[in-house]
Amino acid sequence: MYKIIFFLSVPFLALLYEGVLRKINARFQNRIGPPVLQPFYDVLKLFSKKKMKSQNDPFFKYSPILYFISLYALFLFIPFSIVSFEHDFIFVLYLTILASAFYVLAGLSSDNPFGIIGSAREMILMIIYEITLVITVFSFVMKAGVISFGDFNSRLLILTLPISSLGLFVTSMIEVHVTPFDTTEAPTEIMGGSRTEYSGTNLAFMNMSMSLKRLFFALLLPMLFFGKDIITLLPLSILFLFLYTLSQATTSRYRVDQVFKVYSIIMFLVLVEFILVMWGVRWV
Amino acid sequence: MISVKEKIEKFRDQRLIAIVCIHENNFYLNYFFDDSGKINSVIIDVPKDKKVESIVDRYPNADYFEREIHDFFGVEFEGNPNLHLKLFLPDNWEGKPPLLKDEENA
Amino acid sequence: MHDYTIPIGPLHPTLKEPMCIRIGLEGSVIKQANIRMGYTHKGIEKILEGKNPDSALYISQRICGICSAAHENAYTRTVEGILGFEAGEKVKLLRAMMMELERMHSHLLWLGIIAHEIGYETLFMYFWREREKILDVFEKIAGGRVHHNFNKIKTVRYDLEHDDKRFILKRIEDVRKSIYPYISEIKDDNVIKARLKGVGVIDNVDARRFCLIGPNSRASGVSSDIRKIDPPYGIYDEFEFDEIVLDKGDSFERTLVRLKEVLESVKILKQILDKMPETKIPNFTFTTVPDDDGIGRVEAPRGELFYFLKFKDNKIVRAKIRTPTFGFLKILEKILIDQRIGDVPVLVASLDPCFSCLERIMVVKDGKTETLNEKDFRRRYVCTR
Repeated sequence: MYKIIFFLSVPFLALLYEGVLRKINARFQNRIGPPVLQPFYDVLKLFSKKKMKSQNDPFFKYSPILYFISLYALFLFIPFSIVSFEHDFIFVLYLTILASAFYVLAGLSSDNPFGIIGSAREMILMIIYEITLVITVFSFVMKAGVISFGDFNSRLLILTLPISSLGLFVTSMIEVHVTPFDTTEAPTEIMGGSRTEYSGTNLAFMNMSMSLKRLFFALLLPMLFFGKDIITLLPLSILFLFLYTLSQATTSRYRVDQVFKVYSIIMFLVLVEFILVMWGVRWV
Repeated sequence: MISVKEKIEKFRDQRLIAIVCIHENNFYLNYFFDDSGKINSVIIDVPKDKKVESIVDRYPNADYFEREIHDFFGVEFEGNPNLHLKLFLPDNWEGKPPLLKDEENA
Repeated sequence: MHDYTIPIGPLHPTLKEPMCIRIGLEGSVIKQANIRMGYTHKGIEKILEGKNPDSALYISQRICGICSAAHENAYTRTVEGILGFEAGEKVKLLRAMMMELERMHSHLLWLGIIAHEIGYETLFMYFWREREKILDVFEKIAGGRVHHNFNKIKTVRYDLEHDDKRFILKRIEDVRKSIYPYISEIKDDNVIKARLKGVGVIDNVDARRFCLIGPNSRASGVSSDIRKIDPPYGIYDEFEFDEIVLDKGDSFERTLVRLKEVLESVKILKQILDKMPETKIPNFTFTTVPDDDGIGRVEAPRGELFYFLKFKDNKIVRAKIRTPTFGFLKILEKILIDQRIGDVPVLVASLDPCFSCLERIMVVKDGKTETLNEKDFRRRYVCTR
């Protein structure tokens, strides 16, 4: 029963986490920062704005809401398996890639040069981070010896799979757009990337979807690294949120080609560990 | 065409500071050069409706000075490829160049 | 020829002031760059015509918010050069103090901006926190944080009070202690080096050909400090300071030059405050200037600021202000070619353009009366394009 309550409260939890993140970021920068409930006020304000349709494209009108729905559906599997079936981790990976695809479509359909460049960057980065995401999640699931997230019970896999843990953490940093890897939405270069042309309700959905993505990774990573214990999950998710904020506040941004160079090493190592895990599964 | 390059030949290796245009019946162009602290200047008289040789190939930053003088005083510089792209004025500007003195005050 | 053109500006997060750079892109590499200026014309050169020397000083102080003291000092240097007047020791020291304080605050502002361009918001906030201390000093001495109204022809307006010296010394020592560790921090930070090193290289030959000035030229190996070669008021000969000249000419070196110049300014300020005598400043009298023209220049934070003034009947007849940004902006068109679009903010910001100073000529109506139709009125008076 508490699972249903959790599922319904996911957007509020995501916005609350966003508020805490902004407050911590401000404290790092020696400022006071907005109140913790600020994202709620932002979303309410955006919902109350007049509808502006700058394109007649159906993708332009509906991509943000589809982005939001595909991310929301992820919470049926993580962290509490409200729905569970065989090989559902493949479905989860599919949903994350689908969400990124809707983000890219949102930018491309907006016909704004900044949106096109933002989506182009996201597509370039997707080539590398999606592969690593798939490989690392496969490593974890195979090491745990299960075929669905519902049966996932192993604890402290971070100790047995250190390289995959690091790879998954860096991948999540690219996905949630924190520096040093937030090239997709560099506001000083491309004004907001895929979100540039949106306003009103659609912009609210784009922003909320990014918060949902942050919450998703903040819950997925502790679950895979430390185990599915309800009591430790929430504090650990706050710890990961803090780590994202720490990275955002203390580093600057890489260019796209530099992200490639830094990331290719991680991709290679993650692949090596995946092959080791596959050998281990077969012979142990 | 009024030639400029031979008059500034002796300042060849110095830094061009500015080109100043003064309008008193005719135009007077002052070219200022800097020689490690000492300022040298050359004044060139430009009667009305005469063109002036451009020094853009020797000093690339003279491009902006010449375009500014063309926009605001109407002096034509020959040899400057960007002269008719307006620098400060709007593209559809029709009217006298703004900084010209009126006939009675010149 | 190229895939598409995107405009950077006139309104863009990377630009602090409006200008339009139209960039022709091929993939993610820039193939063509076209700069368009003129979005915030004011009216300075035309407004200055017809003003007497004392009133024109007020206008020249307000040309730019960041380099206000540099403009007013260039103006007074020009006018006092025409008059053949040399100010007293105390007046000269006070003016030099304001110029050095302004150099510190302008470089700290720029350092925050370059940090913001590469995504490092925290560093931006930290640099501007140090800048607040300099603005406190301005407020204590002159009453204003941005425009100081400090100079008058032949004298200055405010004197230091008895506890001002201690106040200033404490503040600049705080700034020095906070900024000094940043030199080694920035040299060690891998991400900053990856973004700034090798970006926008201007070599020595280009720097001389394009007549660069200021910290941009010093980072490329061309020394051009007006404080050394043509000291304003002759006062800088008495101070010991280094001119920071580096050799590679990329954005990283431009950052280092400005960072180190902040520390050099602290050195000069301590020498100024040591030498400051306890005499009174002379009273203000109205100025009468002979019918002549003259030039004067100072080292503004961005380079050499050059004034040309021509007087007749004690009124200005022609004023030409050549700001440092106008002198070096041409090279932006050259260094943008063959760079990636991710480097554009760093390239534009690393040259430190100041468009307030740059655009001062506006359309003003002619001396004759003429009836303006609505089109003309809108174009001239309601908004600039």
